[in-house]
Amino acid sequence: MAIIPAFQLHLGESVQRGQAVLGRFEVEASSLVAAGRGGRAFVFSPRDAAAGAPLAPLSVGRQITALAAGAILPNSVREVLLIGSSNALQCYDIERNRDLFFRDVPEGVTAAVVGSYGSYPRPLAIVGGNCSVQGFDSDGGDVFWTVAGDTVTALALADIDGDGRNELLVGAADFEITVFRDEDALLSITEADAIASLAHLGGRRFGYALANGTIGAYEGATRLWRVKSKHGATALAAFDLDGDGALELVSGWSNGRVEARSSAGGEVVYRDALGAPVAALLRGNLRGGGAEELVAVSTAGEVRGYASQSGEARIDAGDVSLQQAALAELAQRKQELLHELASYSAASQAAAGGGGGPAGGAAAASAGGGGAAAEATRVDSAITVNRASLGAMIFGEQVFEGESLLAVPRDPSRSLTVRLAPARDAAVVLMIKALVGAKGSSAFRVYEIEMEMPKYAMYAAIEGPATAAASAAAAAAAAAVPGSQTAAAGSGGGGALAVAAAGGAAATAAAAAAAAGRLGSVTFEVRQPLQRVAAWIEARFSARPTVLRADSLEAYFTGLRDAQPVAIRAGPAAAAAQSLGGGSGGGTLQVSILTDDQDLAGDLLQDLAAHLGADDLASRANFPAAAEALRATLAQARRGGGGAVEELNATRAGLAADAADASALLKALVVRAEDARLLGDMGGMRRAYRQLYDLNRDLIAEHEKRATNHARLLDALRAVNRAIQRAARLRVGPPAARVVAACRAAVKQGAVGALARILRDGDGGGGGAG
Amino acid sequence: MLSSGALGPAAAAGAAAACAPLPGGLNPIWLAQSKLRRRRFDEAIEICSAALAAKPYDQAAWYLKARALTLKNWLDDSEIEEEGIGDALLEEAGTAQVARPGTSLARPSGGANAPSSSGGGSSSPAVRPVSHAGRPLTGFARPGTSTRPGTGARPGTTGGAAAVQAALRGGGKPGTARPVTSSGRFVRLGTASLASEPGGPFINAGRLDLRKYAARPNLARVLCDYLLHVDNDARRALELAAAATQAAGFEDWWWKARLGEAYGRLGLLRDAAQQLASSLRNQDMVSTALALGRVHQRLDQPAAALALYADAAARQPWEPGLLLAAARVKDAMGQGEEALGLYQQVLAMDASSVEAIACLGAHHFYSDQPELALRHFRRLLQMGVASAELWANVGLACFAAGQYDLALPAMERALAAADDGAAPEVWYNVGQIATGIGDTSWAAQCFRLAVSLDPTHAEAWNNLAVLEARRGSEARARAYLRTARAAGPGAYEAHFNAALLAWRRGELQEAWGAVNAGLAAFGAHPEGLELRRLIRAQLTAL
Repeated sequence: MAIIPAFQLHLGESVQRGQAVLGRFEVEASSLVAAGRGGRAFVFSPRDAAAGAPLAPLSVGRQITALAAGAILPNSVREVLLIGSSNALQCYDIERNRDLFFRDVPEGVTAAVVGSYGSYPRPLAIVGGNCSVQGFDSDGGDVFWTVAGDTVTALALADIDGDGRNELLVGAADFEITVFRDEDALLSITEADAIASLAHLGGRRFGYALANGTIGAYEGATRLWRVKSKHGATALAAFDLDGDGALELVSGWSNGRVEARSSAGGEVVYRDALGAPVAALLRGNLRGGGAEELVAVSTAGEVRGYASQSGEARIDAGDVSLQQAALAELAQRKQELLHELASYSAASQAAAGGGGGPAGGAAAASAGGGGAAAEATRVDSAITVNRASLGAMIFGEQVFEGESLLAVPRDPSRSLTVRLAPARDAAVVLMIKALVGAKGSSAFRVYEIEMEMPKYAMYAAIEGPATAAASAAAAAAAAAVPGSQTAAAGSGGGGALAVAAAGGAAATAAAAAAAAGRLGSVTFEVRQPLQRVAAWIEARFSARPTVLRADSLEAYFTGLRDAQPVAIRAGPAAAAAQSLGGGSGGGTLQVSILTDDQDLAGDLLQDLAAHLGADDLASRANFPAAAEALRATLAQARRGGGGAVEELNATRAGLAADAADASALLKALVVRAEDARLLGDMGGMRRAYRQLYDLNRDLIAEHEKRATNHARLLDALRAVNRAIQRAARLRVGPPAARVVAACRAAVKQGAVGALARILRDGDGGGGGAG
Repeated sequence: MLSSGALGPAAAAGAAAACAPLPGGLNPIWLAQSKLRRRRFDEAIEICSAALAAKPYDQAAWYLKARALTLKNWLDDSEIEEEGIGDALLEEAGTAQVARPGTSLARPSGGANAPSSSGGGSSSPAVRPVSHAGRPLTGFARPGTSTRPGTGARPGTTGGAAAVQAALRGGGKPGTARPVTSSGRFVRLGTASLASEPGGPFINAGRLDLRKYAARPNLARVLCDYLLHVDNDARRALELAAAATQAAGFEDWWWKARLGEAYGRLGLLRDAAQQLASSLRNQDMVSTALALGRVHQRLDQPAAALALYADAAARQPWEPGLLLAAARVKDAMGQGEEALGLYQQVLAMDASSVEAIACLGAHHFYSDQPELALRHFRRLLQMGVASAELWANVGLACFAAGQYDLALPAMERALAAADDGAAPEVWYNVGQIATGIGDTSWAAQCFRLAVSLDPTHAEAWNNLAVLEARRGSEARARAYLRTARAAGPGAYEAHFNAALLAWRRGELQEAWGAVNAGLAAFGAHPEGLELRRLIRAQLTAL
């Protein structure tokens, strides 16, 4: 239902998306700070506005990329403003008109949040940039640092694990939401698109919004609900709008809609619409009353405030909306029944007309998944009925662009084959709606089938060199499996899931490469029985590993996207570790993942660790190609070729000084020209302006250089951060945090050799034979 | 002090032979060093030039010449900040363009630009006049304060050309048609500073390999100072200092302070603040603290500067420079009362601080204690300060204290000492005295003299207009007021008087515009507010 705003006003300035904050910059009143175009920000203070004063502009002089407000001052509830730009972070106290600190942040600031975090005694200003997350205290001290997989797009502080301390939620452009507890990555969730924003919904719940217009809520690692819209979700906030004591997830959309949904089920509780895209949804006390309100700001500068509804209003609203919902549900059911009736009558007519097949015969649909062809996975949706299937609608979250696919064959037949090629590895439940009906009929039946697609469906199992002997048997088994499944589907008449592992063209070259040890590898030890690893491979790849002996197994795959070989081996740990020579049941199991793709290795390792319940896992990684690339990035600094971090930093300082020198000259020339004008010396004025013009052209050229230099610096930093992040992904729990900390220290000291060693061995203590 | 011990006696003798007029047997390097110590820089430079002509790679001579040139051009700028018009107009370093009242140098509290709610106090323009730029008047003329425009005259908010013109006029001296080409001391347009040097510049910074020099700390230091103070080449100095800091392992406070200075010259204020703060952490120095405070002020963050000064003063309890700097900031922010306490502390430490005495005197004068003010001004006279301004102040204080016999002789002395710049002000003040004793024709004469010397003296035009209006010639009064308003947009009295005249004539529209202009200059002016209320009532009645 629609909600009536508690107040409404217009700023008269446009607001950049996501760049407005509400802060208590004075003890007794809040104000709104928003960023407009071209690095302009302004402060809207209701008290000043009442006195007739215009908006107070803030001149930042840099393009603002993030704004945040929070109480970071020691012993004060007053909040300060964080202004993030592409290379610096300014922490500014509006009330006192002074900087708390100003830090260069070469990675850029793309998201910022202020609050108490983890075990840190003082509140931190946490900023996310290009693959990095940094935390500063009120003096600008750099106290927290970690890496992210990609550009950080959203940050939130929330107590997700219920230990009384805030965790940090980091949403990045690589579709990941990672929850950090201090330096540890507590859990990580992969979503279907870049994360746009995050909001804490109280307790263990948090809401998220994606760039593709999806919003939803999680409780811990479990998703409660999700909703997708064709509009973009531009803002997210948690606010108790209906006054029931539980926070709702309020979302703002690119079409100006503001919706409040219940955090548990995702039903819309309230909605309103602004005239322009929503720029930000903020919580605060803008009017200066006692209660906190929800403030929606549109990009056109429209501001609406919503108060929490009182209990009385809520009951009325509930009655009306319940009745409406019941009515809508009944109407829909009526419609469904009418359609079914029409379908039956059409079928009986067809039967009466002499058409073949039993009238109303039970149609059986089966879907087979994971059938690995050479180039793409296939989901076969075979409809074994007398009539032709007209099409299938398939919903699958990260599988298709736009999340769903409507497959309509030109020539309806009894079976329909749809080829799937998900761009990312994710375990997805496919919802298939198969439309079945007679040819030419306008009515058809819909069969709903759910099918679980294994996470690593895009990796086809192939024969390894060691399994050559058993290959014939394996192929026979693979051939036998689909047959039996089809039979089951025919007899049962229900949807059945057929998992077929068809041995493709035996890419023995890849397997040989794996055997030769030329692939990158990560090796770690777990105290788990071999069977659990085997079960994991079966569940995730839908392929049985080859059990070599009682205590070891191996499995070979080839990636269907890039034809890269992947191998997994597990066996008893080295003889030195096994003192008593016990069986694999109680002993330590050594698992290696062999692939050249470090991201994939990290992904597999994290997934396996989660499957095995391991929360403290150290490993030895050996990725020659990645290590070589990193060494090249860092070595350019030595050569002085202007390629890497330190050298680029030095160049940047030099270029900045040049630009400043030129701009000082520029000012002098402006004054000189103006002098000449006042004196009527037109010749002198023209000379001065000509010089000014030349200088300006030079400055623009300089700026191009600076921009290029900056872009290269960013790339280099990004490469280093990505390498650290990948290395951290190859470890679980405390070892991962130690890797990040050790890498940070090594980068600060410029110890390139140490960095490579840390990336390989973990924190140095983990690796045995160096 | 000499860096190179390699200078042999034979080499020195050779140099002496080349330089004929030296007293016999004197080592020219020794002599140059002695001259340098006695601050006879020109002679030292001459000796060194001769020595260098004979032996171009003589490090000792090079060192002494660079040092002498630097000291000759060096100006102790630890306490002053001179801003060129270009900087004042085009620099937007401050974050808040309209900061909260009392937190910004561009928006002094209780001053002309304060909102209507917080008027009153001794720094209200009704009690204490403001300078041309709308800043509270202090007892001590400081560079920078007269040129920097207030928020109202920012080029972004009003017309750019008008603001430039106002700024040019604000810094200009009356009596000349030429606007000052005041781009600050540090501007380099070409290398004009060394054009007079025979045979090209002494050091051609463009050709030096600064990295090589950075490895030799003694030469590098003198070179850095030379680049900063003689060449005004902050860009090169920065390069040198950066290399030298790196060579010193990022631990040398001196180099960091120079880095900060170079960054500050280039206008890279954030970097300057960072380097200076880092230098302060390495070594607690008063001069570094003062430099950092100046950077904060250029960033328009006086609160940060004040916090820094208080912090440094706690560590250096007997340093009047820090207190004075803090007092200046307070004065510029319009918090005269707080500055007063600081000035008194300064006097307790340094009884001959001219600035503190003058500011205290001015404060007492404007808080209706002319006798006390007179004592401060007399003290200044005793100390040998004898400027036209001081004599005029003595005269005004005498007049206010009722010592009429002394007031006019003091004014006569002021007139005798006045140059073109001070004379209009002195005549204006004589006019004030004349008004005070009721001799309007004498007063009118004085004001006419004042405006004849300085056609942009808004207050004198205004007073002339008032005298004319009292005499009954309203048309002439209106013309004078028009001139006054054009000359000094910050002088609220002229706007108000024009509004009052227009209102009496019934020209409500004109009165409305004028009264609003006046209130824009001084928001808390009670009569102005009252007049606006009346005009609004009449306009709504119509």
